[in-house]
Amino acid sequence: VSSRRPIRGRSRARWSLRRRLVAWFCVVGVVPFLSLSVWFTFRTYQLVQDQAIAQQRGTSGEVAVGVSSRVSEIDSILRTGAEVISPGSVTSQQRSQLLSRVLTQDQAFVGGSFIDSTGRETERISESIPSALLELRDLAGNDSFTVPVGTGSIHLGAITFNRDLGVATLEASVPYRDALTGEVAGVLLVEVRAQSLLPAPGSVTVGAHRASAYLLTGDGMLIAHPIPSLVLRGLQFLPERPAGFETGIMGDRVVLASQTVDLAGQKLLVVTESPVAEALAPFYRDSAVRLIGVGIALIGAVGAGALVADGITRSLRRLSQATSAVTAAGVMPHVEASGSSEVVALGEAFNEMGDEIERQRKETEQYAERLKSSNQQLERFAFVAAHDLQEPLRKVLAFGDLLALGAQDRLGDKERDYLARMQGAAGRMRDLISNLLEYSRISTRAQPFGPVDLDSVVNDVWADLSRTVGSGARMEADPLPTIEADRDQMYRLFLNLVGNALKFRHPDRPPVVQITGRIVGAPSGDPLQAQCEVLVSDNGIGFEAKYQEQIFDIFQRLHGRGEYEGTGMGLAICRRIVERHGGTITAEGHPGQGATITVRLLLHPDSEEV
Amino acid sequence: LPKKGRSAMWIARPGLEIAATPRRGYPGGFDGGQRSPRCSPNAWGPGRHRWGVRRGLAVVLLLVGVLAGCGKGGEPESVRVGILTNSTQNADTIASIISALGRGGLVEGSNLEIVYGGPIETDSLGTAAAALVEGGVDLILTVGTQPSLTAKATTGESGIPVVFGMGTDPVGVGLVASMTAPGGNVTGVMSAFFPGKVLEYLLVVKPQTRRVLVLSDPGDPSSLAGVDLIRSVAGPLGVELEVRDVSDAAEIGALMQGLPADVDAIMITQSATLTNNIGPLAAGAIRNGIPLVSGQLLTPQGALLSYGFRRDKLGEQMADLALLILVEGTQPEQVPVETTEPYLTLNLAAAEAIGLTIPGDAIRQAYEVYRELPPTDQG
Repeated sequence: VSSRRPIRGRSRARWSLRRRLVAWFCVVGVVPFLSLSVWFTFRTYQLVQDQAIAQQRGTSGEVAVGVSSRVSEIDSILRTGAEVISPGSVTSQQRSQLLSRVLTQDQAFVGGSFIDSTGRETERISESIPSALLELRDLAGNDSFTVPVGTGSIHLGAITFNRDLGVATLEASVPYRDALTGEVAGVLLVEVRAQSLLPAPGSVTVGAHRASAYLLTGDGMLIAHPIPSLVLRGLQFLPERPAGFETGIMGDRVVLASQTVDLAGQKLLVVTESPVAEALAPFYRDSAVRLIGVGIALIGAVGAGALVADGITRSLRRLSQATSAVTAAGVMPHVEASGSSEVVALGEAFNEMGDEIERQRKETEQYAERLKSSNQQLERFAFVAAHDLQEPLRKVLAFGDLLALGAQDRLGDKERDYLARMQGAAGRMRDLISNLLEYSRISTRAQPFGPVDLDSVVNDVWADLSRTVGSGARMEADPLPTIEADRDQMYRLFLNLVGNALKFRHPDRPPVVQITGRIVGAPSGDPLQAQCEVLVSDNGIGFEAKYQEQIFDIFQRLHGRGEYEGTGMGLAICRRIVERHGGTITAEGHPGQGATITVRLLLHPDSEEV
Repeated sequence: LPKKGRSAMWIARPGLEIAATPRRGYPGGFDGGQRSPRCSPNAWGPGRHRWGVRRGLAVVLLLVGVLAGCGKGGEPESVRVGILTNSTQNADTIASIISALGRGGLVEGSNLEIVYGGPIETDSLGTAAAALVEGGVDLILTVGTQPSLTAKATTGESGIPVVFGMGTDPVGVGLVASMTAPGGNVTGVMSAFFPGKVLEYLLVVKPQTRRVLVLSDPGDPSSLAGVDLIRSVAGPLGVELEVRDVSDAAEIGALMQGLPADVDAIMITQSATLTNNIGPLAAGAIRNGIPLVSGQLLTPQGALLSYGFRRDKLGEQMADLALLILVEGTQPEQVPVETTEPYLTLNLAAAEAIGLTIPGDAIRQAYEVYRELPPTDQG
């Protein structure tokens, strides 16, 4: 095989031992650390999450306490206002002034009224409408009147939406008593901004980060939020939320906790939420540190693995380099193995193997040299022998002819028969020697390869042969390609093949020779291995299948000399020519049905190689 | 923006009881909302107990998140916010807006660029609004009715959100479809005007008031709507009105030079023209010995009594809505129009200057009391 051609069938490239060792170091060194890191990360996440939820619960509880305190504060303001009212001793104008003073006690009050003992409002003030335009209502059947009168304590009543102010309000009402009799004389009612029950925006925190709080009614209606427009939107969700990482009111992921507060007749839900990102900030920090640790461990493992792998594979690399040197320069150097005992043993074994290979290589070279010399001597001998044998043979033939002409009358029938047999044998011997000489010249007088148009060759052959064959013979030839070849030998090849087709014609039909050709690609796809396949078929006498190999041997004949003339060298010469061109030749035939000779020739043979 | 496009997992509550107040307001009340398409009642359901797998996935995702650079998430991206106003009295509002945006995570000079070159003449509002749109601002804040209407008209095709702060009746002037469902790209804060309460408090501090001169700006829809509101409540309170249209400083100056002799007080409606000339108005009222009252905080500038919104509070509410849109990604059409809270403020120096004694109850009810008058050109 030429060294210039790619060598097929080698194993696919895989990871080097060095890379595998590094990878194993990484796996062994990092995976446990990584697993622990993931476990710690998971645990940290759980802890941080649980802590965040607990803190959020605490914040909700604090806000709920604040809401309760706020209601208590409102209760206190209203009770103080109620204590100074003595309906029997003050005028309506004075009551209005008292009511105004009560309402100015807290910015959360947006309106209020006095309700007498019959449940009818006697004075009413609003933050948005003049009192003169306000209708005095009869609230006798309203909880805001009946409940505080019945219980004697504050009552949080209807939650309404004040259109003018754009806020949700709650009614808070407390009873007031007659200063003299101590009996309930009426109810002081105020409208309270629901928003005022919550801490000021920005003041709610969970740990060190911000949070927001909002209020829901018992059935989930939003009545107070730091963003008033959410209240105006009339949003609602189901109450009694569990604490956890959930979707918050703004659609974000938040830590959310809720706390129900029961406030003087109103069950409200206090909800607090804080951004998940802030709650998980400690987790992010820990994870970042852990990831950096994993990265450092990975780099360390790769470095350590590389160092160890380098130590292990150093001797192997020397072996590999030595082997490459054998391939490159044909020399077998000794390697210096060091390291572990196994590697030293491998190195010594390699050196022994190298010595043995070197010894065998030298023997093979000597043998090849002898073989080449012997072959050359043999070829020379064959050529010289054949050439030198011709000279005495020509004399035998010449004197035989003279003898036959000069002594024809003096020889008896028996002597003339002897002479004719001698001349025939000498003629056959001349043909044998001539063919043998031609056979040896295939290698001794070979010409360099060049472009040969096989069409042209076949046409020349037919032109030469058609003069010697009778009428009726014809040749049908397909277009054939141009290949790299020795033109003289190609001529000789087709001369023999077409000549055989004509010579072994069937007695009952005129000879027809068909020549077809095609390009056959190599199975490997290598364009250098593409071949030209030429089939030379005839309709002659054919041959039995068992002779399809034998007919290519030297001096091999399938018919007696009386039937068909020839020396039996034609197909042997063809095989020699084809083999010189790196090709193959095969034959196929059936008695009485003709024969087909298949020739495969490389389109681009390597002249050095063949 | 990182959180844009999300919607709350909440559902609207139908049928909540609405207080029966006689005037404008929220026609839909709590009915205005719609069930969110992303609403999922099961979000709180049994699925949450499968937290083991979810936690595991969360840990992996969080590790990936940390690798991708944790700690950077949650920070609002840089935004450009334009401000459009035609009033010279909005410095407090704008300062409050910037401050509140900073508290919400949009810090000017860091991730917030404010595009504001000062108050714009009313005639130039269209040009200024177009410049903001062409400048690629992410949101426009407007203070005043005319700037708000101009911004709405200019941003219509671009869809740039507009958050307004304006008076009286955003539905009536065509700024929004309704208070609870504004529709389009505009929402904001209505600076509520309670003329009945203004007159009520005027009657408290000056009970003999019978005739009030109402100053109206015919070029400002909010001012005209305010006049209608004043007319609706004056009669029941026993107050007669004399409405005068003033369109510029010259007309205001001329009016204050020749006030009708029978008016007991002056009441100004919400208008940039009027607030821009509050100095001459307050000085003229004092010169004529009559109270000047308003439905917005103008007592620091010399008005005797104001019952209405504070500009700093208005700015905070506008900023909150802007944050809702810019940071939370809520669509303006889903943000109901908010209302400002009214505050009673008094200027005792103005009262003293016109020889008026403010009752103690009124002073106690006041949220803030001013005891100085601003310097005037006349000294």
